[in-house]
Amino acid sequence: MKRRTFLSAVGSGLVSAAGTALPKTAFAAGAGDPVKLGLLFSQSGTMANGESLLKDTALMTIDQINAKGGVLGRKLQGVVVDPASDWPMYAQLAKQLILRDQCAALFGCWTSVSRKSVLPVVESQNSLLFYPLHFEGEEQSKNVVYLNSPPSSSVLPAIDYLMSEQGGGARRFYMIGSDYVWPRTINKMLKGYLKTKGIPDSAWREHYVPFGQSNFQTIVRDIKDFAAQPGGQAIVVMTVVGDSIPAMFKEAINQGVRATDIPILGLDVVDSDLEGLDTTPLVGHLSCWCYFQNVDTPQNRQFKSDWKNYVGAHNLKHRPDMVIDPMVSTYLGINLWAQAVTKAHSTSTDAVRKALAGQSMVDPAGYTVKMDASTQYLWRGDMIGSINAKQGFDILWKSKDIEKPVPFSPFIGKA
Amino acid sequence: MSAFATKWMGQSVEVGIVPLLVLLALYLPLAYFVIPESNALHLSLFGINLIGQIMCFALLALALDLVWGYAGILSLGHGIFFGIGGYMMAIYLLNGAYADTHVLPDFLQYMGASDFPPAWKMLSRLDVTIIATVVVTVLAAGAFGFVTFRSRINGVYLSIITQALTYALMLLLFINDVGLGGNNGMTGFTSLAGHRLADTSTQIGLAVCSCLLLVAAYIGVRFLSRSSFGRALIAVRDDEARMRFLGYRTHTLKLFAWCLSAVLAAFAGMLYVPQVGIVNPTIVSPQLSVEIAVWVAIGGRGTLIGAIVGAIVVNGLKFWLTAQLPALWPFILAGVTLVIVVYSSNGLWGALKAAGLENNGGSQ
Amino acid sequence: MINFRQICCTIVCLALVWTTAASAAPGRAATLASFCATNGDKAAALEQLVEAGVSDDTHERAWARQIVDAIRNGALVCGADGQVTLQGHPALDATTLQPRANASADSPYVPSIVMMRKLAVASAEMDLFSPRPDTRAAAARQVDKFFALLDPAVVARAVKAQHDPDIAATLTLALAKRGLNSNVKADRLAAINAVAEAPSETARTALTNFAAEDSVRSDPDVLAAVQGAIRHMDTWLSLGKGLSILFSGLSYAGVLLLTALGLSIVFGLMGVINLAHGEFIMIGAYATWLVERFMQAHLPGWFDAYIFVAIPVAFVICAACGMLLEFFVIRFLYRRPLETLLATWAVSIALIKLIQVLFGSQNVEFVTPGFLNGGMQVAPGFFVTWNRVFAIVLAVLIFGATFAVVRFTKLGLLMRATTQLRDMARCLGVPAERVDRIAFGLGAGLAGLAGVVLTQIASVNPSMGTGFVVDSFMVVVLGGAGSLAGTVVSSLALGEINQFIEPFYGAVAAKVAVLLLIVLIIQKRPQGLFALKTRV
Repeated sequence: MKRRTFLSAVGSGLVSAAGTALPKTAFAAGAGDPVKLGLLFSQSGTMANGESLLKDTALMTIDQINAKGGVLGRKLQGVVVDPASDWPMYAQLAKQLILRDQCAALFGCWTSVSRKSVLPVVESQNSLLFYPLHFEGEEQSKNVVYLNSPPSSSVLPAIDYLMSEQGGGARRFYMIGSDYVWPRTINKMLKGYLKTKGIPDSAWREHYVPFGQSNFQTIVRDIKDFAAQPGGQAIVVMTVVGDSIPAMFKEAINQGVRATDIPILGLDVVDSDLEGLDTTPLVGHLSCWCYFQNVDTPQNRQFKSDWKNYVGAHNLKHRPDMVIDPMVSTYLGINLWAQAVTKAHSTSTDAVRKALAGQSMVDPAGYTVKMDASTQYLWRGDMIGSINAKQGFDILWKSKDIEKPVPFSPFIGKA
Repeated sequence: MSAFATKWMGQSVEVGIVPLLVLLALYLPLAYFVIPESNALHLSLFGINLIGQIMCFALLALALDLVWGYAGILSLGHGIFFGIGGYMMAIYLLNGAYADTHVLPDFLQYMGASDFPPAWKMLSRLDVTIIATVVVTVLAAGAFGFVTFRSRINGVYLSIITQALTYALMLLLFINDVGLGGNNGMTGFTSLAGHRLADTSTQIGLAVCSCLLLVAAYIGVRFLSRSSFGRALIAVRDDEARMRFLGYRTHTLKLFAWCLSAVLAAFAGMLYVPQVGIVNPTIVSPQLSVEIAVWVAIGGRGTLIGAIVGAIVVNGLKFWLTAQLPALWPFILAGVTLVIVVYSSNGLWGALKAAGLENNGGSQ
Repeated sequence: MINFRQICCTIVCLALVWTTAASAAPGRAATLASFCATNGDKAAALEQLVEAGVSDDTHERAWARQIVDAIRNGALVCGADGQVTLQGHPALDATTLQPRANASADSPYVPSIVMMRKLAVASAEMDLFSPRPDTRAAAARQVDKFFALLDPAVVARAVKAQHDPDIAATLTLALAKRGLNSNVKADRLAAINAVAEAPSETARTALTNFAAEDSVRSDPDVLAAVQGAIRHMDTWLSLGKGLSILFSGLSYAGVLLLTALGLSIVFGLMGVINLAHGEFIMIGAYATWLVERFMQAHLPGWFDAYIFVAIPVAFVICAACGMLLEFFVIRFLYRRPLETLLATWAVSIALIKLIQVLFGSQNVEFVTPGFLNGGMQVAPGFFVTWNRVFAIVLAVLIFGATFAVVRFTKLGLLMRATTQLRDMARCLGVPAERVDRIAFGLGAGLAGLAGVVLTQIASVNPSMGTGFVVDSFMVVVLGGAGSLAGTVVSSLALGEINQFIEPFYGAVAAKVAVLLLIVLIIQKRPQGLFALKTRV
């Protein structure tokens, strides 16, 4: 009996330990072995729609690099995990990818809260996280590479446009966001910025909903009520993410809110959020990114056809004709990492970091993007897109050249 | 003779878990520092960390077994107390991080605060934090238990109410305005009682502490269960009305067991958070609270060891299988739960014990 | 013999036609050129288009209509070479509307938001002269909405030409709002009265802006009139807002009722806590999706009716799942409610994973049937959307059907008997196990129906059920297990309370407050509001 207890109690302890120890002993690092890249994108949960696209784009880019011979004579291998839109899981899996799978770098995260969960892990383990989404800034870690724009180069130009006469002369702002760091920080910065433009406190309203909220009935009513108050044209600054985006759009359509009445600037809206919606009543609502797939350059045509072939060849569930900005950012990130590794002749974090500074390449939107020498932010071009009737975006405005990213906004403290 | 032998062996088996766990606690630092990496018995930091987390879950299961196995109260909301311990430890750790780095946590910054709330600053020492956690937990558990047990609510109604309460707490914690980090939760811990959390020795120390706390809790609860208090609890579980008619204040008995269980769960939370490095509202999700009951059910409720065994087996399997076969894990868990719940109401441990009794030819 | 006069007339007529065509073409070309010019006055060009669109010449009207529609649809290409084209199959030259040999390679003009508003008004103004009354009515409402941008000359002409008094009234109101700025005091007072007669949020904004003007503040009569008008409108608008809240509460209550109905029957009958109830709702929603896909592929003409077809399909599928669950799992756990709880939880996680594996974990999008799109402004400040009206109506109908089954059928009689006194019913020959199975199937089927309705209101994904389980249980526990009336009353009460709190503190706080309220009520009255009277 004692023996049985011994076996059952300790055996289960060993099960967990063995599960973690064995793969490590089986993988002794050797030259000819593939270089592993961790892909930290959710395949289930509220972020699955967007992040699964990024995982497949990453795998496609890895295939492209391997077809050209890999890096330093070794092939690349993407290690796919599923954090299931659960923020602590991102941290747990990041630890697993670095410690157990010995990944050279991590590519992942969409929401800022997932990035903030992973941040302590990459900092304590001295690894690199390449982050492909536009975000709220206010962060500059030597273990994170920021591949997309902070608010200074994305949100503020769009707000300026909407406040201009051509954009409708917006004077009142309804900020609706999911309740976490990105919307809160964006709105804080926005309030500071509006104050410098002379917009009074009574001209804006802030409201936050939990992740995955799908009932926007009361909120859209509140928006209509807000817009009916005097003081000028009202716009909605929409920072909800994931499933909440189509839910809010559907409610706005049903309650008769059109872009000609109250324009909505959806800061996280991509083409995949418009799938399945009849976007005719949504025509005119805006979004801002560094890339829209309607941009006409030879690089973009190549990228779109590569993606189409990849989806067809691997029978993926994605739309072959849809490419969004975060996919392009992921593609740029892996390529820039590969360039840095080649220059540094090493995959170690410190060497790659040094070699990344100043790396540049041509992106599908036609800009020559460049990695900043000191902040680890990527200089990108900026575009404002307007929803069209074909579940996509028409390009309303694009910047002439890449813009300098400003990590820490001067407007945050002014609110 | 055989009856005596079975009883003696049964006792020794149940006490035997204690030296086993102590051995495990001693093995952990050896496995990392002494045993070389190429040896199969070596444990990586990741593995030790997992074992520490599993020990916390085992303590949590033990706490639930106390109220469910012995008092018959199926609480599907023990996550609340786990979360109270976790969040209070997190506040203490944030105080420590602020002392180290002089940078406010993100969620305070974007909510516009320029300093910690005054209530938080009280939790700047570990002993104060522990005492405060015990006080808050006893108050919360006591308030709930007092009202509920006096109203004679039990059975499924109580279970549903505890689910609803943990769900409500989770929803509340998601709101950033409540000031506890919202969806982000709290992270960015640097040091615990002077030890840097990034050091391997601290992590191993935490895992060892979890084992030892489990041992201490087990000894204490086992002693309690063998005492007259324990007998009274079992009687309340089996027939509360009769106990009441016999003159026992059943609601006081239940309340005491409930508060003790809550404090144990809170301690489990306090040790869990520094090992995981983050706390967020999913710690009080209804899902986790039901899972605790599943661990106890699979292990065998009412036996204390069963709860520990159940928690270790289920979580060990979970960590192993979600890495290898993530698509299959929910089916395996569902299947195991169904089989155990439907066919063997005594769980794994009960089945083992029954098989052992048969082997020895003893009839009790 | 050909008459010389006839020849002359023919030549003159032809010449006239040719010159008018030639002069029309330069007119068209000039308008298009000024629209496409980089620093051109697009607004003025648009005015010229509208003039063409309301002129007496049918060709001009058709041309202007086509151009304005093209601009709105992003199909007008201002070529770099000066040629203006309309995209399409085939590409057309914008001036002559004749097919072009090759389509332009330039990108089409993307209208800004301000331009979109002007285009909407332009299109509406042209529609005011359409022969169809419903088009004219819609156009009149559009013009009224954008009264600040309308062209008074065109609208005045339209008023004169209208035979329909309602349309004329809408247009006059629009002109009145525009004409608040008249210099004649009597006109202003008349305009204020006209606006006050038709309360709406936009009218209130117009009047409030008007009241802030210096010319108004200095004139006490006008100021008094405006303030009186605003107060009058405020009463109407508050009434409308109150009705809105009641309506949202009703729709929330409808959803609660649907999700809790099946649970009430099962819990009351067997005392079984079914944690897989949310998953039956989810299965119903996915069954609806399958029906939608099927009808889209094979019966596109009847597509809008998919939701009605889905009702029996989802009911049958979920009832079957429920009966299977009862047969394989629940019946072994008779009189062991806590074990049933854990067993059904296990089934629920397996079901969620199964659906995830089969359908993917992303949200599935539903195409709303045409008749459920949009809504109606019932009163000032009170807008109802059709999908929620549908949910309420369906909830009432389903409840009625369930009530009828429970009250008036033999099965219902057996179910009620088994609920009240199980052992006695068995002694009287009621096959309690079979009644259990059928009742469980009924409960699961009702959950499936809830899923069908929810496809139009909530997002559908494999874990959608978990959000409804706690809420439905609280409704059942509050209302009293097994009591249908109790379920209705508690859903109504909870739905309305939730919607009253939501505008002030947000949806989450409202939910939490309702949960805590229920917990408190249960402490005082554990058997719920409507306890079934049994002798045990």
